[in-house]
Amino acid sequence: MTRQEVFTRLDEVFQDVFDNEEIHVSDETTAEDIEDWDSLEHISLIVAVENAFGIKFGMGQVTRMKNVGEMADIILEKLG
Amino acid sequence: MTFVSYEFIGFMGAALAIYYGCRQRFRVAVLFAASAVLLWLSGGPESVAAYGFSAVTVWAGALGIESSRKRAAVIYWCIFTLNLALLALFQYVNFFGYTMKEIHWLMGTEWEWEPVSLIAPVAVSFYTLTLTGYLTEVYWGALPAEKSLMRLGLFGGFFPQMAMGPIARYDRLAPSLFAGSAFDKENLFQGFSRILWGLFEKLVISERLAMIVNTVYGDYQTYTGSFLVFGAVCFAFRLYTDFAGAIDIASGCARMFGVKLEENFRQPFYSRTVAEFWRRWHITLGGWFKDFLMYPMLKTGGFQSLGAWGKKRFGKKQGKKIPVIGALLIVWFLLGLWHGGKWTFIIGSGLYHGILMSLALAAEPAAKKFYKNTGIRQDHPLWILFQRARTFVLVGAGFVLFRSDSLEMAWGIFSNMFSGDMGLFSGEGIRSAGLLPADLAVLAAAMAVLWLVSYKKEHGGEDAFNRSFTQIRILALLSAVLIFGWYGKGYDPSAFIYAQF
Repeated sequence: MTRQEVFTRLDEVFQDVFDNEEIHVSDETTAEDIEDWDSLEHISLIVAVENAFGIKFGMGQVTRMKNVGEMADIILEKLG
Repeated sequence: MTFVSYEFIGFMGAALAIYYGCRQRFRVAVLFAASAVLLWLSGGPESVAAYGFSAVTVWAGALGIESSRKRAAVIYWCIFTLNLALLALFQYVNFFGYTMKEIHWLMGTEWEWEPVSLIAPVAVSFYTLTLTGYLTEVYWGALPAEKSLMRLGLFGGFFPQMAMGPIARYDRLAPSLFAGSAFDKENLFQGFSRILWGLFEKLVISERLAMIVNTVYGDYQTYTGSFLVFGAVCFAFRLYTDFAGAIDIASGCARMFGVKLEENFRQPFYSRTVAEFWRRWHITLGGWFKDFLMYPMLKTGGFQSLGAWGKKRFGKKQGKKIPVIGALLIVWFLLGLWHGGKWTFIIGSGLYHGILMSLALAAEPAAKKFYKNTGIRQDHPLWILFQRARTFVLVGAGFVLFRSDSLEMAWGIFSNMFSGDMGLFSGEGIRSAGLLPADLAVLAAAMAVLWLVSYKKEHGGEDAFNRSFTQIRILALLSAVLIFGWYGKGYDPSAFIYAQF
């Protein structure tokens, strides 16, 4: 899977979790940029991403991911 | 020895002189030795032994986890449980007794008992979280284990932050803590300014507010109605200036050694919701519970299944909130319990807030409908002001419980609040509330300064505020602390509230 394909799939997951078709994520996207992405929604999002890609994030990764770019890096590493 | 004592000033002076007087490679050892000496002076050999035990077990445990991933889970859970058990032994030895007392009060019967007197090691609640947080991150593979026992011991026991936080995270504190920073005038100046600001909050504001709170709450059968409402408002600011003052002094002391501590407060009274309040108040405690309890719990199969059930039962949007609400209630119960084994803590700084946040979460669709139907603009200044006032009232009510000795006292205070007594608004009334008119005037002026500083921080950021210290302002602040601060012979500033935890 290419990085571009990962982002396309991530767009779909984010749109589904936050119920907003207008969301498009990039490397720099953080929780600050998406209104409903707070600590209470974080795990819903993480689990949805895990299910979409068939991977599991480590807890250290869950608590330390700084932006969607880092999330994509971890996904690519796990898929690779 | 507390931050507000002549001994501490002498101790800081000596520690700074030795730190900057010795070679760079010895500076970490100087901080370690200074922390050990201060712990001994504050809590005696028992506190040193208790902390030493925790630090050694966590240091060895982390190394064990790293060297043997196969046995990592066993090692982790053993050390984690052992440290929590120690915390529980000291903090919750009377939990059963207090619980029985509250149950008997609810049933209208008497329960006589003598609390067990067990002196807890200094700062046990704080360093247990700091150390177990580090251990957890090593277990997760997110941190390499620290090889040096001295460095690990310093991380959990660095003297400015040990007694009252902020609760440190290894990756954020280690770079500046172990740098052995060279002498830098800017660090000394900024650190000193921050200490002065903390002393202003504690000695000029908090101590005066404490007089009002102690007078009113100490006799809540006499001081009713307006007095109790005033007392509740004063206690909210008393708690803030006491705790934030302690953190400012801690951060200032650390900064003088070139060490940067995390921020623990971000103008909490600007919050528009209770959830926002807790993102701005005691930030590092909330962060610890979020990362090490809430997130792992929500990721478990049980909570995931609860979410799946919720979605089927209540629809996708509302259903996925079910596990979050469950987790919120558990986390806030434990957050309250962390403050001590009393139900006033468990409810007042725990469950009550968890319930408020859960209600707000469940009511989100209703709130959206409300805004749509009424046409209220959420960014209207008056609406923002209303939301801030509402949040203050809700949080302040929790603080009344937090301040009370028992549920019975809290109930007494809440019910007497509505007695209709407006006596506070008479000259005689306000004079009887614990402060002389001159002290009330100083308090009012100091509160105005506090508001101005909060406003500047809120709109310009913490760094901009720290940079705004000029020599003239420092001199003014120093004069204010020396002239209006309550300290010196014949007066003992009360202990910092959070030093008891």
